[in-house]
Amino acid sequence: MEIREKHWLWILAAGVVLAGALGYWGYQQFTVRQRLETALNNKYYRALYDLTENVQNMEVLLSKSLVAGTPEAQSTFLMELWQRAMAAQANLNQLPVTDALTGRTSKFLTQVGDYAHSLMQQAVRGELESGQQWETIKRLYQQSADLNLALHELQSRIASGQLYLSELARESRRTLGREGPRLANTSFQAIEKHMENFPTLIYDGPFSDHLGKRVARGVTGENISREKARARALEVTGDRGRYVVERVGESRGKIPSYLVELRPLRKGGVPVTVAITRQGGHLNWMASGRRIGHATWSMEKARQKARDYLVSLGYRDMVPVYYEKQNGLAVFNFAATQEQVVLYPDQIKVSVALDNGQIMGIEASSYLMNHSRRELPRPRIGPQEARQKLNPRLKEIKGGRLVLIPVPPDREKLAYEFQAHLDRDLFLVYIDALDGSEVQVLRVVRNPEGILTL
Amino acid sequence: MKAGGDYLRRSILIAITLAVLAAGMSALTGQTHAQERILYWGLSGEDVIRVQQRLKEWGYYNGPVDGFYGNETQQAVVNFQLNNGLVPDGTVGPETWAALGFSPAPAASPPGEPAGVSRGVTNRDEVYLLARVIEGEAADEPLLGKVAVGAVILNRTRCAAFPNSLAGVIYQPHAFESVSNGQYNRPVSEESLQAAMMAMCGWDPTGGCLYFWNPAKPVNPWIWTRDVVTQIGRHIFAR
Repeated sequence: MEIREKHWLWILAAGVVLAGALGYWGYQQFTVRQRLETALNNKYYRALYDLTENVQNMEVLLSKSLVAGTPEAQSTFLMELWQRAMAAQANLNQLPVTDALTGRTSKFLTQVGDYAHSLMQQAVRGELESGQQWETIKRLYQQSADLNLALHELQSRIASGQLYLSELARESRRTLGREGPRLANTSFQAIEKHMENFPTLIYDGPFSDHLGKRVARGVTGENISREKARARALEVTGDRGRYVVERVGESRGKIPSYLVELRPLRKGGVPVTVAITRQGGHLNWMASGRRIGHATWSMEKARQKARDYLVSLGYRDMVPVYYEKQNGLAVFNFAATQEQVVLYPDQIKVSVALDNGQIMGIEASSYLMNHSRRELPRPRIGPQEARQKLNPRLKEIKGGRLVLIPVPPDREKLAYEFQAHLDRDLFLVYIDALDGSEVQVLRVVRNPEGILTL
Repeated sequence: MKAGGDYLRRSILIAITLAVLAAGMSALTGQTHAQERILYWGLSGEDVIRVQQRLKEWGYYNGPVDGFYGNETQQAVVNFQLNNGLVPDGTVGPETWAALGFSPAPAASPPGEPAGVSRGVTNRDEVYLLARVIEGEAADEPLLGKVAVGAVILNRTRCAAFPNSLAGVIYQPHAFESVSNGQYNRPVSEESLQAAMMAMCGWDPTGGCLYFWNPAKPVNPWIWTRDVVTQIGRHIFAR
């Protein structure tokens, strides 16, 4: 009996200890959670305050650049404006609000920065004409003042305790990140409304509005029917074995295409999807995938195979310019040539499985976007003269072929291409064939996966 | 008293057995996941050197690369884990190996291979990050659906309304569900890695899309106002 009582006592004691431990653990969890939430909240506040400060500075800088007298003063303001706008964009994208609510504001900030940058480059080249962009800057100034005001309102609501940013994060997570609570969202919605009448900016920079409306220069010919697309898709699969068409879909992307899904007849084959452009029936891309075994093919052999495949498709004047390799899959880039000039914008990529040399995919959309017969200018300086323009510190200079390189946002330049070393680093330097200026310097990074140029 | 003592002893025994079993299990699963062994304080060897080298390149570790897993190395590993959303346990398990860029997939290029002239500048980290989000968002999609998701992410970096870097786009709050809920930390399949590489090389089955969603799941009606381009697998793609 005595033993029995003791037994109960033990269980009771164990229960009390367990309950105590559980309570302690729970409390610990609670405080940790609270601390994390505060830390997160503080991060969001910081982003918001930084954003406000940056937008404030943008407003001031825009107004200053309106009254700046000399190009020197103007380029100083433009440089700071560029930095502030970029920083503000980074701040904005840290806030726990969906991109549906910040998209326009984000675009405004990116484009103001980008616009400032392109004006700055014009100023450096001495091409900046004051007065011409006066109207645009004035409108941007008005816009940034509106944004500034809305942000201040938001801040005062946070300061008075009406709004918590972390609450925003939690709520929007519950509804799959698509809809936040009304309270905070209306604030951001109001800001987005202000941004609605943001002017279309056409200027010389990568985020300019007119770039999205570019047409594919390489896509020519009549529109084709679905049946024609089927036949074309079976044609381009070449020696990959025999296929039947499973389905023909459509894509209305940059280059409208038929998506032809092919099923292999042979057992163990892999399905392939081929995109054939609706206009002209050009091959846009082809993709297939499978587990790739031990690599037995050399890169040279695989490159030859890729080249032969391109020739079989009718692309004869292509030269290999670059390759990349990962997990037994090699991707070779080929560029078109015209009168021995390498056209870098017109590239086709071919991927080859290194276990049996099968062509896994092809990507020709950049070729289709750019390829056309160019009016190549005559070089005004010779290769020897161009070589002398290189930095004298560079060693082991090789190359000197004529190439056409893309110059952002949407231009092309004829240049001489040189390879050279500085210490152990390999560089590619491009010298303008018309005026001898240095157009671009790329550093070649070799890694196990291929050669990457930066 | 005796019965109580017995009970206690038995429960302690059970607890110990369980702990040993658990340890054994985790060691086993660890082994099947990767060919890299798990590194922790007190170990030394070639693989420790590789980890130290990598942590040094990435600015986490300032000590000597001596192949000994000491306090400094452990601290560096913890810092690295904290910065990369891993459990900061100070040991290099399969996930940490993977996050360090030593892919657990058997077909991956052998780690420790000299990186030539490159001094830490590669796009390999970006391919891997992209592959992780692809795995999180489209693990059950066909290869083409995976490439398409990768292409959308890359298209966003080139669009003014989104951040201008890959990490900026991926870590933008609420942009990708799998990033918000941590699903993208799962081990990456070979297919996702292949898809990430293809997307990086320029394959874009969506033709310049910026949004994708699964129509079977509840989404904001706003998303349907976008210009729908095509459907690949279970996802709808729009500009």
